[in-house]
Amino acid sequence: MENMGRVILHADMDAFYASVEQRDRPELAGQPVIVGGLGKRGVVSTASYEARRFGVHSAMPTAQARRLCPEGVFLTGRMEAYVEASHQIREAFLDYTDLIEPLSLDEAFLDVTGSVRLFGDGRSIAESLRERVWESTHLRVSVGVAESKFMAKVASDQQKPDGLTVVAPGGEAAFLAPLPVSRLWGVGKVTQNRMQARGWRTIADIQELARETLVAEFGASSGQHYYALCRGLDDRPVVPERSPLSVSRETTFEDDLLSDVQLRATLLSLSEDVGMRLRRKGLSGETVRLKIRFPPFRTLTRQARMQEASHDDMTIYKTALELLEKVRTSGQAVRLIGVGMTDLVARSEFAQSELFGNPVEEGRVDQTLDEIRVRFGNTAAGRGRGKRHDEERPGR
Amino acid sequence: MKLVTPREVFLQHLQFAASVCPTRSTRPILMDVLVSVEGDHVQITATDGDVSVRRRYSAEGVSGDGEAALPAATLLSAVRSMDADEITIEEENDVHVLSGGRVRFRLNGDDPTLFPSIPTLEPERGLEVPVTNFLDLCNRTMFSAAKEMGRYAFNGVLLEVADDALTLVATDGRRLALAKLEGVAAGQADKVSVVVPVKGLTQIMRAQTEENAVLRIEFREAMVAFSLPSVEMQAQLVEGEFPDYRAVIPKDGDIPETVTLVREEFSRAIQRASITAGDEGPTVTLGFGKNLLTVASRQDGVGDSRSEIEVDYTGEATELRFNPAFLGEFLKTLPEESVAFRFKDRMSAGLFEASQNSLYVIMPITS
Repeated sequence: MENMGRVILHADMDAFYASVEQRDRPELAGQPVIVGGLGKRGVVSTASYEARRFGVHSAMPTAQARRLCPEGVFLTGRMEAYVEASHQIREAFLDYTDLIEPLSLDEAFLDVTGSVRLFGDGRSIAESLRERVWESTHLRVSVGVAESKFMAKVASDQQKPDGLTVVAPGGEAAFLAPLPVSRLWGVGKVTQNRMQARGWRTIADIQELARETLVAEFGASSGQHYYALCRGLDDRPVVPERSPLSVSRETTFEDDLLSDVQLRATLLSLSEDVGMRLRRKGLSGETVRLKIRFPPFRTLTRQARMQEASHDDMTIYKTALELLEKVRTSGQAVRLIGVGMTDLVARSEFAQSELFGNPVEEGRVDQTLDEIRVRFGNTAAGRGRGKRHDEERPGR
Repeated sequence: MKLVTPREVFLQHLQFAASVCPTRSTRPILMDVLVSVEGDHVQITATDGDVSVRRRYSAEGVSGDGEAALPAATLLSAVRSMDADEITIEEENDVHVLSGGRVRFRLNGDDPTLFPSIPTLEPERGLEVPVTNFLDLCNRTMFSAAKEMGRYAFNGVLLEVADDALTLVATDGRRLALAKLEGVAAGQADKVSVVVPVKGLTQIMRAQTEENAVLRIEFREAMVAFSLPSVEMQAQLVEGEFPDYRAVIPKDGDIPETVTLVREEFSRAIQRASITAGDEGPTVTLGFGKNLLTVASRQDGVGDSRSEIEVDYTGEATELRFNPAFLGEFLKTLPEESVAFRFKDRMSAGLFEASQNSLYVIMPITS
């Protein structure tokens, strides 16, 4: 088993629910915030780092947390706010790769192997990603970078909160050596006890064992697994979510945008991105959704169902433009604009032909742009009118 | 303002007029209808800013005078809910009292002088056509106009006058319907080509008219007006260039095969095929073999169906695929007993000819 020279990130939001609460209610900053069930049998979902100092941790009965931290701010939580934040974080991730495997609202694996050429090595990507998440959500994320999912996850946990840990290729065994055996993926309480009974406490203890010893102890499958894992070897791929419910892209302007021309250009480039993502996934969308925010915070979404599912850049763009022109008067300032496709369907093997020239020509342009972007990165090419919206973002 | 009128006739005109009103608008007055009364003449006016309609009637038992701007949706629901044969609308201290039998509504209205003025047209460039002929043209074409957004989605119907013929064309980019009326005395209106919003034409379709009534169509800058004794409709023309429809109607040489189909029989076969065509990308296959047409469809998880029709065909065996809705909608509109279907191969447009002046071009579904 090899790690195949991949670059995998494990991104883990710091005390996610509690951080969202602290962000949205500044008076809670610096306070021990505990989000969870508040009833008799309630358990803690997330404790802020301030609360953790009192020994409060997730999955602890809330009653116990109250005893440990009587001054704590106990909240039931606002799932919709967490989902919204999670979407924003996912959007930020999508700037780096489509290969995202979410584990929960606040945790995901990203395979950024294909993005190294564009954004630099794993550390640079992780730094940029942490910055991007902060910009768009004002939340902190800890990131682990390694060649495998297992190592990336161990690494992200290493310097929480607000940490970045890179495990250089070849450094896995040394990195793992001092850690307790419980950090091995698949080692639960039972196995841990069994290992400790043998005097194996750290991963270094496991590393010293022969493959045969582990197989004899835990069986062929688990034995092999621990043998590879304690050396940091894990070839599980990052598996993106099966079929997304929607594909969307949005961008926030540093300064509110007034120009019709620039707004249209941004819309085109967002449409191209959405089209490319659909094509990569072999999907088409039936409904185009436009999101627009007028300063300061008036956000509208409008959608239109099309005659039939499409993954074609210009079709998405034209429909989005019609929606835009219905909600915005010329010259009206815009803070954020987004384009999305929903009601996704697998691309059909049959297609309705068009009377006035099939979108074949456009289809060829789409395909060519896709190829260029795959080779040289997302910002490498677009239609002439399109402005790469990435340029509008701060911090790049 | 005061109006006394039989309920039924008022309701009938009100509901057609009210269908023009927008359901939401930044100009709330557009959600009103303007009711004007002069003796036994009632006029109901509605506009959404682009399409305006005036409906007029006079009937026994109608009397009153004055004007009122009343919220269309509320007024319509109220009148519809009443049972009385005769109803009265009367202004009392700034509210309008709608009453009939033992029922009484008090409705808030708007200042009728704020209602947008809709110009009374002076006859300009116009033509006159028998209304039944015009409705026939609408019937044969309007269903093809785009209902949703997309490329070449024209929520309008092209109206052309040339060489003393009036032609209507509608397309959504996948199929195109054309119907032509010859022998129109176009006069000054010759060489007109405008796109009329579907919403406006619908108002004319709904007009109840005597069979031999004459429809007057007038063209002016960016506008078109249609008038009948009982209804007058004005519409802003749809902007944008209508696609070059002539270029996509197959020429004789493009469509070597011709099959004559009995409309009713073919239509029923298409209906059956629709049952097993499913919802996602429904497809019907027309299989032409020696003197036999097989109409078939199949959808995974649903099932399949096939109907055989005897036809006069001796060309090569061919299979063509179409959206069954596109076929069904067209066949439904035709009064003719038979229709000619002309085609080339599975990649090319097919052409239905109900008559020389009634065509339907349909693009296939290809793999």
